[in-house]
Formats: sequence, structure tokens, C-alpha cells
Amino acid sequence: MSRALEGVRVVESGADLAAAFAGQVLAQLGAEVIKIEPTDGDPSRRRGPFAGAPSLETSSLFLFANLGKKGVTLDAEAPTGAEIQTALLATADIVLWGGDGAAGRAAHSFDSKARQVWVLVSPYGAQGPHAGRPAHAINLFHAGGEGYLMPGGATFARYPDREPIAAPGEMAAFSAGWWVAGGALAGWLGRDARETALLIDVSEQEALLRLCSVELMEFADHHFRVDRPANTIRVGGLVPAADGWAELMPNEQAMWEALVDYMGSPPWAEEFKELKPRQAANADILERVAAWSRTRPKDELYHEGQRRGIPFGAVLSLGEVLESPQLKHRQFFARVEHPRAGALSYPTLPWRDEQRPPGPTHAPLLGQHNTEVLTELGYSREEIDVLFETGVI
Amino acid sequence: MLSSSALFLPLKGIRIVDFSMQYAGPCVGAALGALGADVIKIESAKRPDITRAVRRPRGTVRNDDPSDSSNTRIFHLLNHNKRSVTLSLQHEGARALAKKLANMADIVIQAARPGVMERLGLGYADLRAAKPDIILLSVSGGGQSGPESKYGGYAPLFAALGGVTGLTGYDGEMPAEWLAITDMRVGSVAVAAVLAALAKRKATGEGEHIDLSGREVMSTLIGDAIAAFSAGARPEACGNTHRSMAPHGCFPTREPDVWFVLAIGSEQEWRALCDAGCLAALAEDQRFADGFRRWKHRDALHQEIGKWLRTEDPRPLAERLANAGVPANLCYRMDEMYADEHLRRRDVFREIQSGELGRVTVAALPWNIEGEPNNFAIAPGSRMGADNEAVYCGLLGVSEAEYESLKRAGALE
Repeated sequence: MSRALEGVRVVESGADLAAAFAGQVLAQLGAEVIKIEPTDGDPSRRRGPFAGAPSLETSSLFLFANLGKKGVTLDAEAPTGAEIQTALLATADIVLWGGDGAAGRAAHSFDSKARQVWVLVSPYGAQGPHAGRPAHAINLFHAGGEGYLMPGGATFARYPDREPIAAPGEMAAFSAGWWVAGGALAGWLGRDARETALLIDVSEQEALLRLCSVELMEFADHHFRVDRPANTIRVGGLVPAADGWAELMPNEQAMWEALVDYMGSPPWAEEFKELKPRQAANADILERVAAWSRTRPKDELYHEGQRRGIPFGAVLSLGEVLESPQLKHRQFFARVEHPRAGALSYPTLPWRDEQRPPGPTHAPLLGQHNTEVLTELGYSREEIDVLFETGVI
Repeated sequence: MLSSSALFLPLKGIRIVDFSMQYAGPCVGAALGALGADVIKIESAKRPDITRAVRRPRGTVRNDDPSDSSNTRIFHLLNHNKRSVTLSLQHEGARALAKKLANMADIVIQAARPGVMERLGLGYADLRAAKPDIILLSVSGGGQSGPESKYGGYAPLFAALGGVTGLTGYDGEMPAEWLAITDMRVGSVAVAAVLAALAKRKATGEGEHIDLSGREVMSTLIGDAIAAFSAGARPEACGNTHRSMAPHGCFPTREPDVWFVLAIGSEQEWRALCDAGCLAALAEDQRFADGFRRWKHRDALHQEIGKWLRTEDPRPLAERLANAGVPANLCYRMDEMYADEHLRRRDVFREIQSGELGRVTVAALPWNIEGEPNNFAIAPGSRMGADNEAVYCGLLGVSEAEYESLKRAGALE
């Protein structure tokens, strides 16, 4: 089956995880993505958990964020390394430049006449007073506006004095990464109408802020500042199950009635027949529902609840996500064999056409495609050997 | 006012027919409209998009006249850059118009429960039969096929089913739910998916059914943890702590509800923190002399850092540390975000002028095109049915007599 970016070359550089994730998405869309790493490897290669013993080839973060790519290593500080980098960048249709956008651009011959799409990716953007500031995922999440709202709902009610919490792992960077991929695609579509290069500066903070558009509008135009207690479901929320947690959202009258029926029509539900008292007493209702739900397995609440028309969801563990019949039916996970890390399961694109595209290839080993790429750039076998021996690659 | 030639409009000439309602679907059309697409939203007066009437912001009066979008800014926010038509799809005449409209579109967006569009004769097979290169975006919680595809749900449910909720929370405590912003996340992925489908169509001439699943979107954001699990690791919720970085957290300050975020991932960052923070004693402390020791003694380290942060003025400290290359910032509240000098200089806050309601503030698409600031289209949402005549008579060529008769029959409500 044909894919969107078949025949398109993407060159990716820098240690930014939003850029890396976007490169992975573009690779799944059929692009040939070449990742440039320093000779000692991308820093994310040192981030666990590891598949087996810790090594530069077994980081689950690196393996996921770089699926489907080719990898070359370069010492861009060495003049020859910089030369190779410039030559490689010149072969790209799309450049993903992660990290300090402004410096990257100045240092590496962005050619405004080439019909390329350059996407600069950094925590706060390439320009402005905060350009160049560093951020790890936790900084990013809390800089994006959503961090201040987490946790809301029942979790906030239980721990009202505790600090806001971050999204798990690299979720903040990957959320921004979807916008990076979208920006690259918008640029790619817009390129044809232009004679010159297109430079797109993506600030990860702004990507996350865009997700908080409603909360921004509420403050800017209504002077209403959403905070953690306000960040809640009006009817429903998390309820305990015998083996974990379930999420319940009986928003409509029929859903509420179905829930009352499922619970065996307890007398306390009588006073909540109307929406208004239900909203006013949500915390109290959740406690009463909890007394019933905590004797039932979450899977039963989920499936039997849904069968009855009640929006119940199970809070799934990672193992349960991997074993989900729905996700298996959708062939959502690709099992990809890696020569050092073994076979791991990875999420693929979260949409499908009539059929799934073939699964991605494994993330590149350190310098795996050096010879292939340098040969294409015109270096001889002997030169490639010496580039390696002298530490340029 | 910028001339339209200064705008970045790669979707100029693309027509989108948008049947979606609420949040995750509509925000896609608004973004694609910003890139120049002509987006036509279809509603019915009997079942208007609930965001025309929804109580927003939290704590203000409900809009009791849903035909008037003028007092819900949230409708404008999710449906700006769109025209509006009404159709009552129970009427055969209305279904015929909907098909005609869809057949003139490059992209159709729908977010109904799986099966609904098929019953209306507007499923992918129907659309493709009339227009082989059509792109259909279907947004749902679990996808169009599979044993749980018919299940209903809202964003917090897909986050739970996608595995994200279970990974979020204070260490060892109950999980934390992911609320409304989850919808916007699904929408942002759908934007990328549609742009990819357009790129494919341009290259190959082929259309596509983008069958997008909200819970799968959420799972992609924890793909590293899922891969780790499949390799035998057992990642768990850990609040603001990190498996190897220390210090790493969100700390209270001397001001109520002002939180300080600090994460140190290298020696260089640690030295910058000690220098810019004037933390000579910590810099000398052998317990914190390298990354491993800081991790090993993280409880003591976090206690020291917590004590220090409670004595400092948080705002100037955050500036000083960030300027020195320390990954440090406040946990941004929306009032601080809106006043932020950096974001202001980058022209992030755009305004939709919505008529009676005045301005509606929207965060720009996070794509700053060089040399072309303010680069996207930005028109308000439309009153329900405002474009009926222009679309049915103008675009579809319905005669005036036919239009009147459809109107009398109630098909255009």
C-alpha cells in the first residue's frame, strides 16, 4: 500500500525528544528518516528502562522514539564532520532540527534558496526572550499550562494540599511532537507554492498551550482561571473497583438511570433523579457509587456498564493495554525485533486505513547506516574507514 | 491588517465538510481552516452542537438560545474558520443534499458513533463510490471496528483505556484522571493525520479513510513505557519524580499555589544550579557530588532544595536559573501565561472578532513561519445556518424553488 511520504527524505538532528518523536511519525508515514547522532550516541540512549542490561542499544525510550529510522554518527565539531552534515542536510526534503534552533540554524548553512522545509524544534522556540532555555519533560509539561491543572477531579479532592503533578515519562514532549509532525506536513504541502525554503519554528510550550485553548480563552476573555479544583468532571469520575480503578461519566439522563438500575436501584439514588442535585453532590455520589463498585472487577464494570449504555472505562495497566482485545483487533502494536534488545511491542500510528501499513523497522544501532549514507555522499571505502578511525564518525 | 498573500495557506482550495460535534472533531476543522481550507459545518437545529449552548466558562450563565452562538466563546474557539449550514438528516431531501455536499468535498470529518454515518448513506464506501479520492476522517474513542468499537465514551475514558491514567499520579497513590484537554490532544493528532492523507493524495491520487482512535492516540504518548513493559520492566506512576534524575520535582514556594519546577539531568546543569542559586554548601556536599550520588541521596537532596526554595522569591529565582541554563521554571498558571513577555513577543495570543460577543482569544497554531508572523486565517464561527443559501444555492446549484420547497418541508432545519 502507498504511504504519504514515500520517497521523501527527512534528516533529523539534535537531542530533542519532540523532534525525535515527529521523525518517528514521519518514518511511519513512509519517509526515509536519517537521524544524525553525536559519535557517543544520542543522550536518550542512556535513558531507561532498558530491555535487559543497560547499554546504548537497549533504551526503551530511544528504541520507541526512533523506530523506522536510519542512523549516522558525526562529530559535528570537527570540520570534516560539519562538512558531512551540511552535505547530508542538502539532500533532505524536510529537516527536523531539534534543540537550540537559532544556533543550529546559524551554524549549519540553512540555504534559503533550497526548496526544503526546515522545522526548528525547541522547548520555547527559536526566538524571543526565553529562546535557548533548556527543559526536561517535567519543565515542559508545567510550562505548557496543563501541569497546573493536574491532578483534578477525585485525585485533587483526596490530596488538596499536594503539588501539581507531571505527565508520565516523555508524554509532554511526545504531545508536542505530534504538532511538530503536523507542522512538517503542513510545510511539505505548502512547499510547492514556494520558490524558497520554508522555515517553521515550533515552540513545544506553544504546542502544549494550544491544547489548553479553552482554558486560555476562559482566562483571557472571562477572567476565570481554571485551577485544579475546577478541573473536574461534573457528574462522575474515578471510582474504585475490586482490582483497580474505573472511570465513570454518566453525563446524560438515560446514562444515569442505567447506572442506578445496574446498582440495583439503591434508595439513596432517589434524591438524585435530577441533574442539578447530581452535579451539586458529585463527590458524595462518587463515594456511594464506590461502596458498590469496589466489589466488582473493573473489567466487569467496563463491559457490563457499556452493555447497559453507561460510559464506564477501565483504568488499564500497561500489560492490560498490550492484551486489550480491541487494540489487538486493530493490530495497533507492532512487534519489532532488534538485534540487541530483542522483540519489543510498540504502539504504531493511532489510525488505520483499510489496512495497517507494514510495521516499522527497528531503531538504528549506533552508526548503523554510516557506510550507506557516506557512500551515497561520495566517500570512498578507504575514506570512510579513516573517518571512523579519526573519530569523525 | 495583513494582505492574504502574507498568510501561509497550504490548504487553499481544499473543501472540508464537517459533521462532527463537541470537541475532538471540531477543533480539527478549525485548525485546517486556519491553513486556508473552506470548512462547512453541518448541524441540525434539532441537535445543535452542544458547545453552542454549553456552560462556559465554568461558573457563568448558560446560553438558553442555542441558535445564537454569540454568547459561547467556546463555540467560536472550536469552530472558527468555518461556515455553517443546517440539515435535518431524517429528511430524504436533506440526506441527498448532504451526499451532494460530501461528494464535492476533498475531506469529510465525522465523529458519530461507528455505524451512524453508514446508516445515513454517508459511510466511507458510499463516499468513495461517488468520489474515489475522498479523505474521510472518523474520530472515535476506540476505532470503527473491533469488539469495543460500539462502546460510548468521553476523553477521560480513552485516557484510562489507553494506559495513561494508570501511569499518572502520586507515587503509590490513586491514579489521576485526564480530563477535557485529552480531546484537544486527539484533535491535534487528527490534524497531522489529515495533512498526511493530503500529502498522500497529492503524491498518488489516492484517498483514505482515517479511522482514528482516541485511546490509541493516548497510548502513543507512553510508547516508551509500553515498549519497556513488553521487555519485562514495570513502569509505574511516580508523580514528579524521575527514575534517575535528581533533583527532579515540583516544589512549593513561599507563595501560596506558586510551584517551582526543577529538573537536573547532567553535571553541567547541576553546576549551573549551584552557581546561579548560590548553593555553595550543596556543591561541596559529597553526598551530591555526582549524578548517582544525587539519585542515591535524593530524599535528602529534595529536602534541602525544598527548604531553599521556600525562602526565595520564586519569580526572579526562576528567571535567574533559567538564564543560567538550568531547567527551571514556575508551574505556569494561565494568568502568568497570558502576561508572559516571551509568549507576547512571539505573538501567541490571537483574537477572533466575533461580532456581538467581542473578542475570543485563541492560542496560535504552534507553527511560526519565518518572515510571516500572524500567518494563518482567523475568521469567527458562524451562526447556525448562516450559510445555507450560499452553500445550497451557490455551491450546490439548488434552484430557488427547490430551496424554498426543501425549507418548507423542514429539511433545512
